[in-house]
Amino acid sequence: MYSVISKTRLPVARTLAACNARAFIATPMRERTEESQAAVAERARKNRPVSPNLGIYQPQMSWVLSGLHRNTGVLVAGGAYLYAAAFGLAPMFGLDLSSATVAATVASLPTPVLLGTKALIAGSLSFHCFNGIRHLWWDTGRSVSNQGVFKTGYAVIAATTLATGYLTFF
Amino acid sequence: MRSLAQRGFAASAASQMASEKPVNSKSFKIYRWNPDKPTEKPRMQEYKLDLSKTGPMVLDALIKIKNEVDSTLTFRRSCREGICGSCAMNIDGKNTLACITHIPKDQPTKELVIYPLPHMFVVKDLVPDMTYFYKQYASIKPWLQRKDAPESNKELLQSPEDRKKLDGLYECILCACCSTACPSYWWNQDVYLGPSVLLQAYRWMADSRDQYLNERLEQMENAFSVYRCHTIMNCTRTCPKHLNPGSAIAQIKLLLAKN
Repeated sequence: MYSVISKTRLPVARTLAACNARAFIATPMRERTEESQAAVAERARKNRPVSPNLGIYQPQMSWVLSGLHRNTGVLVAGGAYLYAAAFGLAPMFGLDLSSATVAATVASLPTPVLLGTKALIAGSLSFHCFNGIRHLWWDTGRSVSNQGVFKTGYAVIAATTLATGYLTFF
Repeated sequence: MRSLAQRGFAASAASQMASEKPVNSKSFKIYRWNPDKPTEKPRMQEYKLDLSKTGPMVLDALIKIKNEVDSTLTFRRSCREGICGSCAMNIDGKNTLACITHIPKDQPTKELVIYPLPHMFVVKDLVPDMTYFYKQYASIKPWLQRKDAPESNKELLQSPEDRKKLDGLYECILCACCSTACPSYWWNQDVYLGPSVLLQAYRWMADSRDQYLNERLEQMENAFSVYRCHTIMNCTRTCPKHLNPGSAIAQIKLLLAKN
């Protein structure tokens, strides 16, 4: 490349070639870049962001029902543990959590609050149970397909709706 | 002479008609992050294209943007026919290949939103760092393993039935759409192998010519490698090759239970 330029008779080209040669000789290796290539790459790698995930993924029956299964499980099991612990500890704090008192307190709640609470507990419990059966069915290797996900998913939703209605109103 | 003139008129009229095709504008919102400015947060950049002058696929739009609008836009692409897996990305909330995804024409006013594959470290714009994914793939030893040395100049024969067991497994192109669609893989990427690598693991377990089934299963015998799968099934839902990684994982679980 340089030899091609220097062979030409054009003064501009000759000056350019001379400039290039001087720059090449005069600049010590260390001053050519402030950081080594490895250091630049290292810095870029440290700052890499994690790409968006749950917040941007399309809501699909597959993962929405899976998330519900986890959350209803936490709600039902966590609620049961909390109540059991409270029942055991109540006498120490002079509280009465006997069945009769709790039933009376619940009965005295205003109707919308009562039905809402019942629907939440009944919905969580029944969904978690039916979806649990769905998981056991999957664990046998059956219905593990797109079609299977939809069929069993709608079956679980239908069963949950019926059970929640029954447990809430009767 | 006259016919020539006529033909010329007809040709120019046709070209005029082509250039007067109605403008069909569509906006594309694309995730941008530049490693040269690491302190700047990732952002969404909007580009407008005339669909009447753009190819039908999302990859056509990306290439048009890079060629004609903004050459700094960075993405991977190669085969443009869904066999290399390079252009895997999140398009309108779903992981798929840009080259075999049509630009939706039924909703012209709606913008098309493009992100890189979810929950991956971003190298630049739509390019995720696949290093760890490939390390996980290598960890399952994706090659035929034999205990006895094969006789020289002899093929390892397989019955048509045994060959059939590999259908739906060997077609995987390792685009990582399924793995990066899996919430379990998002939260446990360091210990869970993910649907894509597990489908490959099962591909070698199911091969009648492989003699290392027990060793392959032993590798999965822990709480994380395979058992972080909770049958969410985002993998099968999103696979652009219409394979079923969820089923392959279920088969591995059954093999583990039987052994």
